Amino acid sequence: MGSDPIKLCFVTVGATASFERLVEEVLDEAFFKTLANNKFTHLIVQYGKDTKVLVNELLDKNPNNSPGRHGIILNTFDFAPDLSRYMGMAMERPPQGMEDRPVVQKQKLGLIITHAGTGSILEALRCGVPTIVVPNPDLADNHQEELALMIQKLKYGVMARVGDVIPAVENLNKLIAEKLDSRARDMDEAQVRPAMSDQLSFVD
Amino acid sequence: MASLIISLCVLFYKLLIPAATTAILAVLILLAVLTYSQNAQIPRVRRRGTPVHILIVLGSGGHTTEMFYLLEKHESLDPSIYTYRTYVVTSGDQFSARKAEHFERQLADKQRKKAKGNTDTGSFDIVTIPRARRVHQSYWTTPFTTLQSIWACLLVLGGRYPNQKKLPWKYPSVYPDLIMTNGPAVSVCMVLAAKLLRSFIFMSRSVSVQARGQPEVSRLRTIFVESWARISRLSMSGTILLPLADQFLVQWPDLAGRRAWWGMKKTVYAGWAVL
Repeated sequence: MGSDPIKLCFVTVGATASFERLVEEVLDEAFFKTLANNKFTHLIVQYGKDTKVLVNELLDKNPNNSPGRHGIILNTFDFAPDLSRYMGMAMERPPQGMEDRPVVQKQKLGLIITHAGTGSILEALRCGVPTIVVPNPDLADNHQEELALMIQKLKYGVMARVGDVIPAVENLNKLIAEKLDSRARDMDEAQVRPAMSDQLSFVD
Repeated sequence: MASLIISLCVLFYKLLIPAATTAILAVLILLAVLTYSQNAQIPRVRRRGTPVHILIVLGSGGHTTEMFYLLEKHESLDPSIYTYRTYVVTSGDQFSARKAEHFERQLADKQRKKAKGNTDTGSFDIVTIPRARRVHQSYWTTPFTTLQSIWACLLVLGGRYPNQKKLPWKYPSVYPDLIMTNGPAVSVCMVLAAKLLRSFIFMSRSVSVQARGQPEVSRLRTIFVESWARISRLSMSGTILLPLADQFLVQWPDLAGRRAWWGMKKTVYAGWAVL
């Protein structure tokens, strides 16, 4: 129960395909340094399928408390049924305007770095945490990249290519200042509920 | 030699031309039936407050996440309207089954908090059926597993799949009233199965003397919601289901107004259903 607020960077690569190049990039000394420079305290990495050996190798390069970690507290795991718990740890807590609310651990607004999977992007957007979307270049399906570009265009987050994640983190503060609105705006016209009821065709 | 050619020509006229004509006719009839079916008006005879059975098709990770987000938004899945919910998951997909249980717990919690006398959320069932196509499965065997999957869907729709719960007595029909689907392959099988069942019901009603002309409560109606990830191109499942689903919702304006062919129903922009 430290009183120092935590500032978390959460990285997720999803469950269906491995994404070793992103994992390699965020478990590197240069990335730890970037996080430390930007006042981050924690890093959690969900590394997915068939990547455990690589992760252990990378962790051995910069073990706990070594200078290579730059003081970042690191946690890794392969899968979890519910990622929103971790994403929630990157939210500001207590929320703005509710500073009197008692909380166990104070949290500063953090960062989510995600592969371009629909589920992960949606979950990140729902948390309202700044998001960097990194499409997996090894996947043939290009609609993920289209989605990532659209996210950037609508200013819900930014897209970064593999290898360019560090500059994206460096630029994040500038982007937030430029009103990078990762909070979900209401783009909806609430058509699903009426459409469902329409198919049932009630008397009235 | 000449006689061989002549006999081949005769064979051609006798067999191939009628066969080709029949095939073309069959396709035209199928297209006409699909067009008629998608445009048919549903009689407004369902009374409010009567129990409604909804069937929800869940697929792999992203699809399941999207499905629950859209059901949750604006309380689209209102347990006071949709009193019985059947979730269909494919074998080996523990994630979707767990999500469904979690979602049901949330529904119950919300209902308890409202607590306006009625805390009943109805009941639900989770049915597991085989996958339509496993990753890396050979394309040669895909048609067979697809048929197997359609058969499983037919059984589920009829409430006869092994281990499926028995529907409470207050439901007048074994068939679900509404079927909600989004992207996964199994949803194609489910909509096909619903369409097949409906055509059987339609035909049996049109030969029955008592039933003819009587308006009937609509059942086995299908809604397909295209994935939020699809911005400018429909998915494979979406393309197949375009002429089959009763209502086709999309989440990006570019995809609105699409239809399978002339005279068919157009896709409808529904805003961001999942956020």
